[in-house]
Amino acid sequence: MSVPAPLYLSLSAVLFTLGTVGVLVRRSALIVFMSVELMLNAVNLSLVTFARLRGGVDGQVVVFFVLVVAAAEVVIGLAIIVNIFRTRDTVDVDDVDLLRG
Amino acid sequence: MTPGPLTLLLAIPLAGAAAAAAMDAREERRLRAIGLVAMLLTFLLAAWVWLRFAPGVAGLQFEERAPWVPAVGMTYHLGVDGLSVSLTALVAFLFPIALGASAGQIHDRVKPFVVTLLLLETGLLGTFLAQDLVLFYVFWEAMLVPMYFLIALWGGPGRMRAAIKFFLYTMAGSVLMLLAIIAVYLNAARLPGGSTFDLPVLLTHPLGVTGSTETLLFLAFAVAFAIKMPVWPLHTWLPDAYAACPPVVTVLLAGLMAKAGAYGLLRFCLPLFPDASRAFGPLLSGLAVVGILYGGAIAWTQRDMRRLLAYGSMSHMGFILLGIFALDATAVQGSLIQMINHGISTGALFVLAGLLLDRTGRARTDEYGGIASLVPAFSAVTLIVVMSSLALPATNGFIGEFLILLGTFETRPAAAVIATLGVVVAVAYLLAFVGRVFHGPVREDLRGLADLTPRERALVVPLVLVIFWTGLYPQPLLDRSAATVNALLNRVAGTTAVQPQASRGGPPRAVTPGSPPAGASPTAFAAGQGGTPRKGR
Amino acid sequence: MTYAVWIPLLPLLGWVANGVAGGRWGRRGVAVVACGTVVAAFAVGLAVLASLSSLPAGARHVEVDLYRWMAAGPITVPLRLLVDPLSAVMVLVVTGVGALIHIYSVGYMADDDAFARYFAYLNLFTASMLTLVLAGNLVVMFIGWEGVGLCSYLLIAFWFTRPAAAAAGVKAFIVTRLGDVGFLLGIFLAFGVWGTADFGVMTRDAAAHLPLGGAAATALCLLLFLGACGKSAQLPLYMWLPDAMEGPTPVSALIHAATMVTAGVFMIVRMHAVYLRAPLAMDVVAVTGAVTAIFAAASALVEPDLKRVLAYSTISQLGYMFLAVGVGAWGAGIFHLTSHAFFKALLFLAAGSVMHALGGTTDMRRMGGLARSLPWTAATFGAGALALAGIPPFVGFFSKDQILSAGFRHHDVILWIIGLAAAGLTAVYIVRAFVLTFLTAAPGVMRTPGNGDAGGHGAPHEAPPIMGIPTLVLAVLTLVGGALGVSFVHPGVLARFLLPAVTEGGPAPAGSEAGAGEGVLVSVSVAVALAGILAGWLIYRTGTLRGRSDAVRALLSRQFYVEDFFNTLVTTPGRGLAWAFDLFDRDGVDGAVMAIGRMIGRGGGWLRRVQSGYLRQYAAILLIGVIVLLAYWVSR
Repeated sequence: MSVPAPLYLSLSAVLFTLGTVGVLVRRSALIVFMSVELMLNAVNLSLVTFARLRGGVDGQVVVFFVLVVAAAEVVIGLAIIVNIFRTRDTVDVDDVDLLRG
Repeated sequence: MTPGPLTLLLAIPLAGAAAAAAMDAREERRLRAIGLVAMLLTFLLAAWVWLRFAPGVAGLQFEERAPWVPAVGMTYHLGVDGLSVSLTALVAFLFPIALGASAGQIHDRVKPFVVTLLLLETGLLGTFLAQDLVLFYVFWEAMLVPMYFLIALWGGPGRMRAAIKFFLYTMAGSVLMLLAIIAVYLNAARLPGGSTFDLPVLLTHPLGVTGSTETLLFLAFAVAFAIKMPVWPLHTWLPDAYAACPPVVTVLLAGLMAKAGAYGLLRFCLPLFPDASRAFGPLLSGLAVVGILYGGAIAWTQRDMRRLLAYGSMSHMGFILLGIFALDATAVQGSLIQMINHGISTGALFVLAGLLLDRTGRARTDEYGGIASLVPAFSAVTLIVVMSSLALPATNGFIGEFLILLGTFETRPAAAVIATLGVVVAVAYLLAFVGRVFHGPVREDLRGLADLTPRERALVVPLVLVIFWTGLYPQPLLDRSAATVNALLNRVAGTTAVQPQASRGGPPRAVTPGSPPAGASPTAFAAGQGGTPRKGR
Repeated sequence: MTYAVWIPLLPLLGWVANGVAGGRWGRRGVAVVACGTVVAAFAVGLAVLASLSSLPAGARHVEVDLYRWMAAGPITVPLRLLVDPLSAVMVLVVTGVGALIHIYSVGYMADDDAFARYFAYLNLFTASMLTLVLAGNLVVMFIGWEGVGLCSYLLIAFWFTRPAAAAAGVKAFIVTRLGDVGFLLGIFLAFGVWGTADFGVMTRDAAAHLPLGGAAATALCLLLFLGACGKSAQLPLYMWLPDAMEGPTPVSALIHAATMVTAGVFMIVRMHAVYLRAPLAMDVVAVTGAVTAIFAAASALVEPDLKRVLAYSTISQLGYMFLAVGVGAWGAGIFHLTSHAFFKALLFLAAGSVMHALGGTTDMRRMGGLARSLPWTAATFGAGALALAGIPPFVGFFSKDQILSAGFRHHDVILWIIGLAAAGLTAVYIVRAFVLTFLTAAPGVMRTPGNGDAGGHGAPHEAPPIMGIPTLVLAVLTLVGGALGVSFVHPGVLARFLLPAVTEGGPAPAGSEAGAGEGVLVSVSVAVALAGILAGWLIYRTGTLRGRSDAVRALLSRQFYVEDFFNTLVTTPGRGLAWAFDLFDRDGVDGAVMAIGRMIGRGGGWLRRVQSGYLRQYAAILLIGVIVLLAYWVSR
């Protein structure tokens, strides 16, 4: 048996929204970071769904790209967060505005 | 495709740069030697090309063509014709002199200096050799970057500001040109062979742009070239850059890069947009006249010799612009020869100013006095170069200015009359310069000023020889450009129905009426040339 | 006759040799090379003259093409020499007087440090002048024309450490260049009319291409005359010549009296066929010449400097020459040119001997009574003075009289009267100069050594023979040179020889035909000259005639305020304009560019406030952006 596609897409939308809200309302850099991952995986889910619907593998290939990029991002992002924590004793994103123009 | 002499011409300085880059930065002597060898080899090859160039042929010679990015119609297309063959030789001629003159000026970071200089030479040569719009653009930008570093790293006070100003100015023009290149490409899509960036192929058929589109494209190209020349009022980067540069770099900036602008006008603006060229001819001639007098007048007021020479150089470039847009065979030939002359004379002036600055560190003319009795050989050479700059007959400057003004007088008498006043202005500022620096009471604190060393003599003597050679026997230069110029002007004179390349080339009289036939009323002349391209519209 | 090319080439080689290696072979070597080349050129000139005379009169027009100089578009300019009676005469004048002055210079400049440089310049000048007179077309003539201008600049500013000399050189160059603009435009116009600037073609086809009195002919002639005004120091471009006396005196003799300044006259005679097509331009030439003649003669009356008196005298005499060619008396113009070359060079060389004796002094207020210590100099100066005043049998009498009678026979008698008045003034000022220098009791201040010029040593004494002999030769020429034009009834030797060269393309020159009442005219002009001499003697020697007008004196000593007028009208506004341009360039053009830069900078400053650095704000903006885009996308 197979679950119908709209359900997957709905799940993807819910996850994406959760991620977005998480990025916007949470102040801990770690949680923001995890929310970003959530959004990425939500997109991955819809990519896989659409790929299956269309019967091709393009979408699934793209998912691999996203995974790789996400992995790289995790490495760099966590390193940054750790460094910020070391220098400032906090991971609250509202306390960090080093990039103000 | 086997690489031909032109590819080799680009490759030698590039290889020299690579070799210099691989060397130990502390071996300054050997670094300079490597650079000099590469430049001299380039010069020998360029001289060979110049000598083997067949005069009387309008089209490209030594052509090399290979697909580059075939998908979008970019080709690696090199070639020389009457417009570029002598300029190529000039580039190769001035670089060794500039490197030689740098010995007293560049003491730190010799390695990057030599490398940058060689890269600049490749860029300049490529600009004059490229026959593909994108390839040209690549070289055009490639000469900008080394020049930026030459100003910014080795310049005097105010160098950063000058470098940034120079860069922004030229970039602004370049971006416009890039847009125009793309527009030309898209417009050419209707060509039988599909769209291409290859200039000779583009020119085999009418471009099909008319009216305001043509005007806009013409302006986009023209502004880029006008900034480089520079044309009044797009010149304000020039005094700052010339004054902030080390003088040897100014030799290249004034002697060669300015020519790239004038060359671009002839190579691209005129053949690609003949109607617009004719329409804008009067305006550009007017700007040229303004530039001649304005630059000369300001030069007269300057006390810093580099700024004086900078404005003077701008004034002289006005003559070149005037000749180009006179759209007359004599005048355009004069412009081409004047490009060479300006490179030699202005280049020599900056070489000499550099030698003087190295010795005293004084840039202001009123800090000198009477040095003609201290350094006689130096003064004699300077005097010769100054005379060539103010177009004394039997020196090269006269040939250029005479032909330009003579040709312009045929098609735009008013502009020629006013421009002729420029020769008085040139006397005023150049003799003021000679008077303040070389004449007058000897300043005691300059006693012991050293005259030209044998090495410096070796630098300036070739320049002096070229000055007299061109002044007394310019025909080899004129012969090389004649056929190409005639073909170009026939193209500009024709209406939008442009003939294919094969049938181009004809007697120059098709362009300018020249001398009226015997028995014609002279009042016809006084009334203005009927049937000139200008009136033909 | 290809060997005619050696005439300019020899001095040119002398220039190269002395310029490159002059420091190495010592003063003797330099002098031998410099004088030798000019004497050799004179010899070649004689050979050319001989072979020219052997040709039938109609065939004395030989063109020597060296090579194609420049060809571009429809025009071709060959490097062409033209040998005909006119250029042959000029070659002999230039090389002959030139050789004498070269030799004189060996003595005059003997103590100068820059001996080699001096002779290199002098040789270059001779080469340029010979190119000018031998030129076969206007463009080649322009080589010589500008070349002599350059040498004039270099030699006026020869003692360049003196600010006055340096400034005078620059002034000479700029003022003559102003005239050269006209010359250049004239060349362009000639190319427009004939398609060439070749003298042979222009002379032959003048009538075919130029309607009589047409605009093209008039414009062409006036433009070329503007060039002549600059080079020959005519009103209004005369003011560089008096200042040019800052140069060494032999230079003044050669360049600023005998040769270069006459180039304008020569050029008009060369172009006579064209000038005949433009009667209006001829009138302008004649009137300018006459006015300049009397203007400069009047200015010379109050000048305290001996050399400057001679300079004004030169301007005045050049005015006579222009008067001559302006009324179509080509032969008389060239005759006066030749005779002026003799007697004015003589006057300058004698003045140079005076300066040599006095250690460089030229101020006549500090001279006097020199006839006792310098009898030879006084005698030779006196001969030149009498020639200048136009007293028979000196050469100046014959040539000036030909001009005056030509002027009289021309339709306008006013020209004759002006010329006559100028002749009277000439006699007065030259007597004044002679009296103040050689006769009046010495105030005893003249032994102060001057700076730069020939060094003074002890009591005034005669110059060495190397200076004395050339002066003497010129004095003899001044005495016997009248033979060249001795006949009033028939054309003189010179005029007869010149005839073929100056009648092509036009009627026979007016001055060559005999006229009734010639004797009366001659008597009147001699009477005027004698009256002038008497007046001068009475005023300056015996003091019998007295009375002064400060207003007139001021007017004369400022040369009728021409130069002040020129300064107020041209120089000062020009300088002001240049400074205004400079200011405009900094604040206007560059200001606008920099303002654009600042505007972009300010815009960036405003935009940077968006970059708060708060991550969540960025995210929110991102979200809003996505929603807006989606909304737009969905709604369309």
